[in-house]
Amino acid sequence: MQYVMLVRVDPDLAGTVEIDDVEPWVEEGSRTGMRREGRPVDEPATATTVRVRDGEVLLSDGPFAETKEIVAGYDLLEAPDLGTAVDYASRHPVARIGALEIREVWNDFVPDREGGLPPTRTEGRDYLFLHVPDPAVYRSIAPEGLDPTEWVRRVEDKGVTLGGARLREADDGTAASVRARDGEVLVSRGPFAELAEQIAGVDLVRAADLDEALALAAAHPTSTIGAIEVRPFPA
Amino acid sequence: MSTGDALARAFADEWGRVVASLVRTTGDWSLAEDAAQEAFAAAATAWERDGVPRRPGAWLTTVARNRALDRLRRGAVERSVLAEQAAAMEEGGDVDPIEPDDVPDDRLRLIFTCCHPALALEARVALTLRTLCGLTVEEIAHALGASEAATAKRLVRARQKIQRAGVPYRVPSGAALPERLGGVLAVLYLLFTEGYAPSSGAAVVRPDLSAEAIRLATVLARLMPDEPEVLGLLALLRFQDSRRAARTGPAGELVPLDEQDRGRWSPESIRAGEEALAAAERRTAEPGFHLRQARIAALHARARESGRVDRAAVAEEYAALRRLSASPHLALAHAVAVGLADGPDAGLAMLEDLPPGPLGATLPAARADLLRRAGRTAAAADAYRAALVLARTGPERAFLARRLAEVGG
Repeated sequence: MQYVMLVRVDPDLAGTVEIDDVEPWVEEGSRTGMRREGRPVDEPATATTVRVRDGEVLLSDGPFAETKEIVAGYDLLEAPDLGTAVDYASRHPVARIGALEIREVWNDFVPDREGGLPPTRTEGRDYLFLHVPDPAVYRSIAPEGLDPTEWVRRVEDKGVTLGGARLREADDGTAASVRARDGEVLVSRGPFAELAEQIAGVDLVRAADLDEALALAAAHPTSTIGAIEVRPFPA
Repeated sequence: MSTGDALARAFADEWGRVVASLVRTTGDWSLAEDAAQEAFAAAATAWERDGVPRRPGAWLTTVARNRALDRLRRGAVERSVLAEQAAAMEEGGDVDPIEPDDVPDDRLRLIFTCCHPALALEARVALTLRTLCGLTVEEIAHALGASEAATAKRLVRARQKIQRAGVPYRVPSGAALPERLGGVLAVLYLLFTEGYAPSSGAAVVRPDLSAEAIRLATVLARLMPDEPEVLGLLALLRFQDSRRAARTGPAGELVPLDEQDRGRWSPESIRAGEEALAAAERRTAEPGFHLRQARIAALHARARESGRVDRAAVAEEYAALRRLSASPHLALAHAVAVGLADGPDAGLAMLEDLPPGPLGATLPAARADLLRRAGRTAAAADAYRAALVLARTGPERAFLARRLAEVGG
């Protein structure tokens, strides 16, 4: 199974609790083959949120919402089951100052491209897109109602995608959230009561600058039924 | 001209240009501002001693560039990327004074980057005042009614976002231009109105911000001479500014447009407004948002000579404006214009449909004014009282209280 692990940091705790270096955790993942890739994103103050309403692109400065635990990076995990992924995640140092949100990748959502991928751009800045659809709208329409396949093909043609994943809904038993507080590991499964809006997918793009990244986000169907949070990776 | 005058003039003319050029060559906003600041400080001493140079702009650009170069060299050990840029800057061996004509005017890029929609609106305003107008953090904080610490933090965050999120330093092209230009004009207009009618506080007019907005609009019109909306904004600001002296009474109270002493309207500003308006109208057959507003302002300004306002024409312009924007403020202005053109009842009927929330005190104040004109004094008094509850600034409240007393409330 593939899982996207969203690394979330609670800014209040980050200022008060000292945490260990992440390197040993990364090394463990490389050794066991459990961690495929992962990168930290830049601070939330560098985020831009994109919405499209009635054909008009609406931008706002900052992350999608002032949720308590802000996304600080992602990792792609490969594990036989959710329990194994949770066990590995529980040793991540950020568990003490935030949460590791583990979400199963919905692998067959966008069919694989026939005939291989065009080459990816070598120059540019990398951005993480966090797809945050409005929960009510998201549940009221069939998945094909916001089929991103056409968008994915377009970014593949342009050579600006570095990958992406649609995530299974967090409340169907495929997801978990891991925290460590006072030396105790806390795992919550199933519905994330604290999150009204769920991240429904992630995309990694390589754009010339923020304008191009925002234009790519505005062209994605999620921006019309919710928002896309655009986060730069540190240069 | 004294050294002080020459410096003040050079500051107004050259600050934005010097910063814009350094932002392009170094990519570092803080460095650009610091180097410009140092160049002006150096000018204060050097010009006093040696006299004002023949080309103050060239002098300042050269000194600022050398200061930036020095700083890059000093920091070169740990900042290798910038060191490369320093080397690139050095290649030209630029020890000779730089002629302004040799340097492309980068202010247009700077304007578009400062007003980028990925920045918060308050950050756009603060950044424009800092980098383009050269206001200090203290001045910006005072002008916007914010604390110095909050303003400084806002500026740091905005610069960081520009650099780290990759906000491009360029003028948008093609389909993106009209929308982005609209955003730039909105920031300039906001600057002007913050100077003209601050959203809170006691004083009615904060002259500096209005003057800065007019100066920036003039620069923008020079850099984009074929954009009717830029000329339209410039005309609008000029017309509104022409009434500055007549807008407040001896005790600092607000004087409404139709009670103003038109003899105190500035004929120079009106002439400048008419010029910009004519230039804008020559360039388009379909007036946009700012050009339409400039036409309304012109209809009022012409009353200085003719003694009367063409009310029907004003109402028509508002009707056209409402086809361009769904703003409730515009709908309110339209209703008032119709009330003045076709009689208070026509305007009052239109006010019925407006949402009370976003309009604040302006909605009951407009209703009160039309009721007063219709001679319904008791209803007018009630509406003035409702407006007084919602009014935010001292002058606004003083005006409403005076009206309330006039209708016997």
